[in-house]
Amino acid sequence: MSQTNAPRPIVTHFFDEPTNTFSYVVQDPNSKSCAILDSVLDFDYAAGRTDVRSADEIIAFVRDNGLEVEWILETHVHADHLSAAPYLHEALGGKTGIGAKITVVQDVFGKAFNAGTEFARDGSQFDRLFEEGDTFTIGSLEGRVLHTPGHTPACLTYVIGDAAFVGDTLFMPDYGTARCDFPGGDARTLYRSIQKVLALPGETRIFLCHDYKAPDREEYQHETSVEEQRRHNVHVHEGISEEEFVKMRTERDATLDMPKLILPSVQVNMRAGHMPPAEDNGQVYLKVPINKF
Amino acid sequence: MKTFDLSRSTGAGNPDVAGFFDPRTFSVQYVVSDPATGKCAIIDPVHDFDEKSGATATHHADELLAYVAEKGLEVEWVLDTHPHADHFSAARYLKERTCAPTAIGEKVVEVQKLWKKIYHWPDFPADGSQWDRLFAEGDTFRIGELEARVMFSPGHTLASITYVIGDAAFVHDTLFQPDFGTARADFPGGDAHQLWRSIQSILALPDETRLFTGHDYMPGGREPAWESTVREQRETNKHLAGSVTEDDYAVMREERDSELPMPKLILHSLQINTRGGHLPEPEANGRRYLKIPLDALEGAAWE
Repeated sequence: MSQTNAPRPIVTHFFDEPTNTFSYVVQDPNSKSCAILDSVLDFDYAAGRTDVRSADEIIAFVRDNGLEVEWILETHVHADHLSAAPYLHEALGGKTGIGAKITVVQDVFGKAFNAGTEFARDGSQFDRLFEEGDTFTIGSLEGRVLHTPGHTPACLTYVIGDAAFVGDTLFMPDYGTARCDFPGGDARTLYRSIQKVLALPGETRIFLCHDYKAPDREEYQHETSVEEQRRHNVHVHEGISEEEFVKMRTERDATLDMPKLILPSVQVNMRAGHMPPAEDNGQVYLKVPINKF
Repeated sequence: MKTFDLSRSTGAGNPDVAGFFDPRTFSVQYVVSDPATGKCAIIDPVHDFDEKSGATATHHADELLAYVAEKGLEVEWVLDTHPHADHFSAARYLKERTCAPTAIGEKVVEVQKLWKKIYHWPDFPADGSQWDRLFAEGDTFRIGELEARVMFSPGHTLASITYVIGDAAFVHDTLFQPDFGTARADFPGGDAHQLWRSIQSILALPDETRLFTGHDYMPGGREPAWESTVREQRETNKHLAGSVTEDDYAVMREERDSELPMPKLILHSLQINTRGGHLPEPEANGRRYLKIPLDALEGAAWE
């Protein structure tokens, strides 16, 4: 890909501080077309309450700018927040998309949560399942899909013009990389996925899914570049071998707690953000498997 | 951090009280023993739970059992003061290990009815049959030669009771340490006016009554503490000292409660604790699941 010819999408970020998540609206500079990536449904676990404040901000932005949503995309089945994709879809239209390996994730977690037969494990909850190398368009922009597993088996990177949305692979260079200890995660696989991302042109803008600040950094940051990552990423800068990375990542993961919202998030996100079916009293319940994870 | 303290008997008829603090849930568990006979009761034991992974453990309950064994005590009762909203009760586990009967206040039946609806358990027997004994107001029982008496103290929950054992009272979520104040009254079935009246009954106990609270939140970063006296509470409790009236208190309590998020384990805990500490029955795959009702609790501040 010739870097000089890469179109430059307009990227607007939305930060959800309770879950440290960045959602994005990626806009074609030559039309009103856009895509929404990795939206957040607000969730108060203690009270079991959901809210759409964060999603409404995105809706307001899209409407204020007269944008047309072509895609509502997920980089993966998130384990730290609930997706607002169904709510955004209802308000704004657009097709939903995620990685084709979602079926692996649906199989694992469908079992873990003992989901009923109503829960299809074939990805049919999404309008499109992307494979490595697939392309799609946002107005005049072309999007291209890299399969970047490791954090989860279904993780994708969306390369749209000169911008790459890397999901949970790389974080800011001073913070490092995503954990690999969830079901289906693998540190060696993540290393190889990251190499794919780092093989993009050096000027490629990288947009992160999360930031947690780093020691000695006061501000949240969401954007970096391939070149910066190659030079400075504390976990995978040039010169760090696969073996070194795997050792570091495995040791570090062993010290991490499960994310606070993994159990609620995964069972909703495996359903493309839809809640499980209500019981016969009309009430929806999430499930917490005891002593499974 | 201090997680254990022994408050020794102040004389015949009065118990030794060993307090065990759980920093994860800020809960205090007690082993109350009769120095004359070596008989004891366990009050408000914690079954460990990690809500992130859904894993349970019995570290704290086993610590209580180790203490009982080390001191050569015999467990006569496994007691809860109320169905807790912030931790799982280990009553069931300890009953299995010690064969001692379990007990709680009889109004637990009302709490069961309330949560049976929220959790949608059509077949759940909301009749208190999950415990060996349900205490009524004024009921008495013995721990060795110690006299124990039950006072209803609703307000935090409608089933809350205080156990008065010799010169010690286990007040759980009514009064906290004087520098922290009192318990919230905004859970389903809670009531600030009732809590005030329950607290007045506790403060009418003899001045030197040792009060043992159910939680400590270590205000200002001080060490955990859980013992006070009626006199100290009356004179220095930050929610009560001075000329506070019932109405003043209720207004303060309700305003403060309106700013508190729900405890992080309320939806998890109540489905264990309304079942006497039993986990839910397994599904067809053999695994047990807790249920988290969505958008069923209204009104609390956002977490």
